[in-house]
Amino acid sequence: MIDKFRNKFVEESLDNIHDLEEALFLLENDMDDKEIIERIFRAMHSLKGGGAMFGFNDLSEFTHHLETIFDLVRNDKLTIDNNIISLTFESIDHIKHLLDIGDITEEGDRLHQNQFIKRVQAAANSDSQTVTAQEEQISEIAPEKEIPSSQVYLIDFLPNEDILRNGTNPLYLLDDLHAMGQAKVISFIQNVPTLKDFDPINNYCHWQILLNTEDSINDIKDVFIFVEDECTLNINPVGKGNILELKDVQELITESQKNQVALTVESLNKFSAKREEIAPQESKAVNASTPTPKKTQQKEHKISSIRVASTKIDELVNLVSEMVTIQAQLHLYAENDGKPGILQLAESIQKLSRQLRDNAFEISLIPLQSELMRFQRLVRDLSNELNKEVDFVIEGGDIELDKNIIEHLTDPLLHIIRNSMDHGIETPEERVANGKPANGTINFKAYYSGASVIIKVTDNGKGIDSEYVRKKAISKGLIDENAELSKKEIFDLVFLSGFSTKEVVSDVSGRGVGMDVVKKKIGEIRGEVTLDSEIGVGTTTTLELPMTLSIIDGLLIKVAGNQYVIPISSIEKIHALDNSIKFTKNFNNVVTIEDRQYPYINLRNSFNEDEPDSKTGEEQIILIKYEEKLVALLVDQVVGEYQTVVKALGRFLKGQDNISGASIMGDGSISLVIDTNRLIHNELAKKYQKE
Amino acid sequence: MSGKPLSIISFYINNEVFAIDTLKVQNILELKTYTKVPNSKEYLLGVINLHGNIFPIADLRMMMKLKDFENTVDTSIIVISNDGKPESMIGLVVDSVKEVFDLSAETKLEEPVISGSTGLINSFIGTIKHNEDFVHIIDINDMVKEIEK
Repeated sequence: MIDKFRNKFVEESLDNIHDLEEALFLLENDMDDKEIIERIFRAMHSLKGGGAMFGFNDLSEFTHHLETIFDLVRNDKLTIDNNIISLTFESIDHIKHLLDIGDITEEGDRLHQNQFIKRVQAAANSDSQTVTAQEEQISEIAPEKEIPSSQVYLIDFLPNEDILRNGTNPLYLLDDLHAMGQAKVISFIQNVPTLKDFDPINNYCHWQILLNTEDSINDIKDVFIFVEDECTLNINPVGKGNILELKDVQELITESQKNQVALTVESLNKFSAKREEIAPQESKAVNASTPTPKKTQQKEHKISSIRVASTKIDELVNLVSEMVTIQAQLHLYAENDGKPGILQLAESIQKLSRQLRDNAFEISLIPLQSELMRFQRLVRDLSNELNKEVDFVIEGGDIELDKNIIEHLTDPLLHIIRNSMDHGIETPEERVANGKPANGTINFKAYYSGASVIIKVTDNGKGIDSEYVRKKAISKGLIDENAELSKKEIFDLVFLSGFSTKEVVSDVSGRGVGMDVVKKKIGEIRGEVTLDSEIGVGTTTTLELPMTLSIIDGLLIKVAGNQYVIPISSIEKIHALDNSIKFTKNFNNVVTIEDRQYPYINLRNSFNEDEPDSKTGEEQIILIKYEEKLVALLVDQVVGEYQTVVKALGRFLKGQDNISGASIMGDGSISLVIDTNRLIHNELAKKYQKE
Repeated sequence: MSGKPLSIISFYINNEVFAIDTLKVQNILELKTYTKVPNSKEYLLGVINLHGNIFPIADLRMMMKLKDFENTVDTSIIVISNDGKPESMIGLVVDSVKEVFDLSAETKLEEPVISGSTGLINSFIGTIKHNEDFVHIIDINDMVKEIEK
């Protein structure tokens, strides 16, 4: 049971962290924005509160220290600078780690946590000074700071009448006292004469000050060092703890002011602030929480979305797909039946179910925005690591994609951006030398194009030398020395396995993951990836993705009486099996079409079906794109083009080769969706095995 | 061996009575058309569509390595899901479905007497005597693991 709540907390905390990161990025641009600081503070506060409640005590403690910084900031006691922002980013990572492991059990983690807390405390205590430099020094001071030993002093300040003649303004002295801590001033004006006897260059007032300060009595005396001879000064410690917080004392002060009767040490000494250690902190907490209710109410109004388990959405999409299928059957029946009433009803249902389908699919889409934060983070972190200045510009973050696609997209995009940061963007010096602005730019742009979504990642770095790529490919034996390739074809070589342009393996890119993996990953979600680059200008990586995984445009074909679907996106051309097509006699697996030879696969063979006794004349050859080649598939019959909903085959057929899913036809029958990449791969592998 | 089920559904295969836990059963269908899946295990006849879920059907008779069997009007598909999830659904083809009955607390599970091969169905929860028949209760979890191999 408690686990359930903990999981919920972790989930919510991740949302909070997400919000935190977003706010930090905004803060980086506008360090004075109060609203953002408030937002950060709120997010931290929720983390802290929730952490303590669900047994993440170390997380709670850590966040508390972090929160202190932003509490100081919002009370104008600390100014935001890059150090604080960087420290906070690091802290967020630490918080994520703590969420992962729960409470700290390992010694190493404990040490890390303690050091981190010290750094955070140092940042809270130092105003705009380097955090790390103070680290050691603070470690000694910190314990003292934790238990502030403040003392209230009663100061009787009776300046002489002629104090003003020396150019001393007693009010400035009072200001100095205010700066030392919390001060209450009682002014006594009973000595002020009537206007007739009033000399403007004389002083007629005296004051009593109650000061709560951590400084010593000598420090207070120092304030009056220049006026020692021109006034009567009595400084006495009174009470225990910060008695200024006590209501009785406050009343006493008000009364004394009203009646112009001086306070005595005796009258104050009987007071003691009981919770003296926590008092100053608590007062802060009270301050912190009082202005928030209005804000939280606003936030509640803003809730325009709800959280739904993704399985529920999958189920909804499933049911809707089913309904669309049934509706197609109904339509078929109504048309055959011919009764106008039924036909009309069927058409109304068709309209409705279409809307319902569109709606349901829309629900399963989520905006790219949710993942962009990670990329922004990556660019920021890498900028520091590589000493490069890079702006990350996002366009079209509101573009929506199927959540399964977005999940598959993260790793390839991280890799692409990493590449741009590492190989693309030059160092500021290099850039300036080449007449470019010192700051590099990585542009992330997403937009709709037909039924697909295009994502372009463009950097204005040094670009890729196509000649270099070509030579590299030749040296790796990927292409023939004499092969003439277009620029596009050359850049496509980058996606072949065993190709990595940078010789030195760095920490940033070159973790054994090349662009071929990017291509493979994007291919898994039926997307395409291309590269274009110009030397000195920059590189653009373009991803073309389907909007949803569950609907595909497919070509319905028949093999041995069974129906299959081939995704249209993988088809290059369809040929009727006429006399112009020649199967090579020597090698059974090559076919000549329009003066070109292609490897060919008979689907009947692949599916272990018997050869028919005679040709029907409906057989067709389909040219399929496979990596850089075209491969011909021989099928019994091409039925037509369909938009179909792809469903999984369930766990028992998960390891099924050649088939990636199934879809339900209008008449309720099933056709299997062919995974052409895998099919062709398997067939080619078979051949090699035979040899 | 899994625990004793509260209620079982019994069916005939080659005139012998077998049974599985009723709670795992999602549906019972007649054997109609199904779509062949190429390159799959022989006993997985193909896939069928039930309420928008597509799942495979496994012929228990083939799994038991029986040779001479034919499909009749009584041939049925028992749709089960051992963990209740749609993705774990699978149809079992049997000669005919017999009955559903509860197992009382007194009913004793006997170790099934096995002589020779039962093919791929080789894990049983136990055997009970019900009316005139010996009913062999198949361990679904083990069977599912076998199919998933």
